[in-house]
Amino acid sequence: MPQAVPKEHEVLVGVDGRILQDEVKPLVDAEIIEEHRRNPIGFHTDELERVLIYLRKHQLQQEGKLVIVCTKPHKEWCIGVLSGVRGIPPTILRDQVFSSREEAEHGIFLKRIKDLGLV
Amino acid sequence: MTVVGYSDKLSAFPGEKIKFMVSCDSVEYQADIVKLIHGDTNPDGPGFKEEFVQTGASGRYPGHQQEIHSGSYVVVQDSAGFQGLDAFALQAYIWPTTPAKGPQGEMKWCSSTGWCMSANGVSKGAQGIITKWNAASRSGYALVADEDGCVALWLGDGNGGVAKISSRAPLLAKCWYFVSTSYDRGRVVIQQEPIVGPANGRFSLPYPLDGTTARVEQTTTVRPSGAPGTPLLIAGWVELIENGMLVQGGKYNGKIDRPRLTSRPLARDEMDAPQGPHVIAAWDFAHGITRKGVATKKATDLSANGLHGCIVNQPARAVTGYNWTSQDMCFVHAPEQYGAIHFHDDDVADAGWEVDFELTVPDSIRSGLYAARLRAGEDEDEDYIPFYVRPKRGQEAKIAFLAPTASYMAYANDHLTTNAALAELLVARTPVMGANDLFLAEHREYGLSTYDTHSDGSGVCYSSRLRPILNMRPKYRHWLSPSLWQFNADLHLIDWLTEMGYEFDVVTDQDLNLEGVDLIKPYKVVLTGSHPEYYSNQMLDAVEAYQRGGGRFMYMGANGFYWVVSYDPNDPNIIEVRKGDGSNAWKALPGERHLSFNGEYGTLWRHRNRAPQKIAGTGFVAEGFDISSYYRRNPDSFDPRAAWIFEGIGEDELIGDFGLVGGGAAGLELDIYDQELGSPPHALVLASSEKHTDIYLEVLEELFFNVPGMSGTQNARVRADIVYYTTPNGGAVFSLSSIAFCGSLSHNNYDNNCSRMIANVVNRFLLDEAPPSTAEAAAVVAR
Repeated sequence: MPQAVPKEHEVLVGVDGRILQDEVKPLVDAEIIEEHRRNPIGFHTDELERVLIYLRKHQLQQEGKLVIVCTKPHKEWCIGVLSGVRGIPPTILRDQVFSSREEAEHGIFLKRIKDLGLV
Repeated sequence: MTVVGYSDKLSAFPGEKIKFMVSCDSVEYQADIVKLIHGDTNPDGPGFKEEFVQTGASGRYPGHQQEIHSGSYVVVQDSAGFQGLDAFALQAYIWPTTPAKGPQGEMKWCSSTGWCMSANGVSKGAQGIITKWNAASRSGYALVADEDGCVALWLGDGNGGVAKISSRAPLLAKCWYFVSTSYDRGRVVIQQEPIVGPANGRFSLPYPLDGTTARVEQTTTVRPSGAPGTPLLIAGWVELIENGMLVQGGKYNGKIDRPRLTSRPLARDEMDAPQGPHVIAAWDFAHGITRKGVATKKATDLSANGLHGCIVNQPARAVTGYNWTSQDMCFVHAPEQYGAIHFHDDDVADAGWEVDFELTVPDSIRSGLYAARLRAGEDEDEDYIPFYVRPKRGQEAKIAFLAPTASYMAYANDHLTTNAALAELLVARTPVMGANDLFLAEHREYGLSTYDTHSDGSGVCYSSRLRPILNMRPKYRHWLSPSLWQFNADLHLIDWLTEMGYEFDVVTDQDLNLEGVDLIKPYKVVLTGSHPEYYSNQMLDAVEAYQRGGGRFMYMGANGFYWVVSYDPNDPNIIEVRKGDGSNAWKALPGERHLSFNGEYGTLWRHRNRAPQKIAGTGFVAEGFDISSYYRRNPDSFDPRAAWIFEGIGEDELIGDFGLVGGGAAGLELDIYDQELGSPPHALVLASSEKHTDIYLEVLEELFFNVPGMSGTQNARVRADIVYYTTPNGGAVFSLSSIAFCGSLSHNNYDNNCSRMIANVVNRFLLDEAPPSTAEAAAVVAR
């Protein structure tokens, strides 16, 4: 798997920022958000899938990437934030608790598009 | 986790003893033996099933904490030759991978505070190269890469006097250096010189390394102690010795080639084969390389003193040395260019824990998958240590489940969720972490899987089962699957066989590797697991011999018979794989694709012209891990020679449009029928899956160029083929070609078309009469 190298990453971030502005941002609207809420995993429209692929890449960085943490099997899920550092487990965000994996998946989608200023 | 453990054996006969090693934070824990039936806790399925087994091992045991010390090194016991040196030199070729800054932050060991975290990209700390150094007493002498990434000589008199003399020129990562430190009655010389060849390192022109050449001369009043009683280490130093157990400090990442200890410095041209009374020790890591590999754990000293070392925690062998030219790609052809070992601070070959309790496998017990169930603490925190009980010889059932334990080991304690940037893209879902994953994310010392990279970015080519493997557990849900994967997913099949009332035995890859076809010859039917991906030469030979001998083989999954592996010929608890030219989590470095354990070419079996299609009729074509789909019957399924397989299944029925793994029987990884790669021309392709998402992409080894249109909704090659064909002497092969399939067997209380189809095949295969022959079914079709 690729390792982040500072100079290469700096260049990647620059190009990635333009991809975000030119290719991804115009696709984010109420329609794809609703589509994701109804069906967060599986077949999607091309518009939603393109946005999801961008979000999943997270500029190939692990630090700050979101994961789902199952805090009670089959009952409770939270969002976790990866440290990007070996040996430091993800920070679990307890402010939001989800009652299904799909809800957590959608919670992460909403958080990501909000954090990126796409809504 | 309050309680975790592992066992010394993976499988045992009735009457044999199994030892269990446990670490427990509570005062005590309860241990019981259970038979595992179904490991999926999903409320939409049949639920978790285990059966208590009365044994002498049941009871409450005192808890005590046991630690794992990861990190590989060579240890040489103390010797008179290491003492009383007025003059000496420590020299080697080194290829440091994290001389100052790791690709990610690292855990590091501090003498004063124990494990602590260095922030991302900050110095890893000093690393021992050749050391006779006791960190507790700060005594001895040591060649190190210091905390600034410079070569240094450390001297300690054991009475507080310490001198640390540095080259003051930081080493560049992944470049070879000749490093030399010497002491002669107070005079110290430090030298580091880049060795740049066209292929041996990261650069082929020396310009980036110009500033890293150094020679420093200095005097010191510190007269080094010989650190009596302290072993000499290569790739670390002695942090402490606790209850006779050595704890390594200064864990080095990178390669070391030709380490030397002499009473006067060697010139470069003397390094290869030093001789004479001034040579105290000259270790040769290429020694022991034969046509059959280099499985030895001995580091041979070429000097007359015989100061041989022991290689601890399985660092990478058969790796290119400082003088590798790239003209020979295999270490057995040019051992002198493979005189290096690649050490890692996170290698683990054996946790080495004390034994906590033993089980004598009861004589009356039936073959199956069992576990020691450990429960501790107020919350009844639990762990299961799985093991397999084999049938008594001569008393085998007619059916065997061949548990793909080599593949379980390959995935052992994987860290892809936290470490692999591509993980989420691969599964098109956000990976889910559970309690075991959170524990592993914190406890990196529990070791890695062959899907991980080491802390220096190099691929993990060995996996040992002598440590708690927390993703090889019942109830465990794996991030890669929508639900279950590997060990726990295979309980879906064990459950189905149990619920359907079949009498069956369970045998393992490890047994197959050791015993060959004799292990499975007694069985009418052998069923694989859902993902028998990692195969050794011996295992492939055994399966083919079984098929030639009239065995009936049911391939119950996909992406099987894929990676070339070898078990350590001296230790069946360790496997090796060299990745490349496949769908790979990492790629072996140039010149490092051959397995150290046996000298064979690694990567995929198809690159050795033993594609899975030859073994199972189908082979890996596509993967995606979001949702699963269904199969539709092909015209071949109505052929009278195969119609019996579909008895009770309607002509237009979709097969497996339900299930506990992604909601369908066709999913995760898919295999395809392909005559060019060896699928038998006389096979019937009974059903094929369809309607896969665009996350399912054709795999890398199938591609010539990366072009559009390779994904599920645009590519008819993204599918799983159910295939049936007969083999000599009344044998047959039936292949499902999908990892998800077994998750559909329990649907509707085991009354569904997947269950019906598999029962039809098993029942027919159990008969003495040969299954309907497909031999005249098809002519060879040239593509």
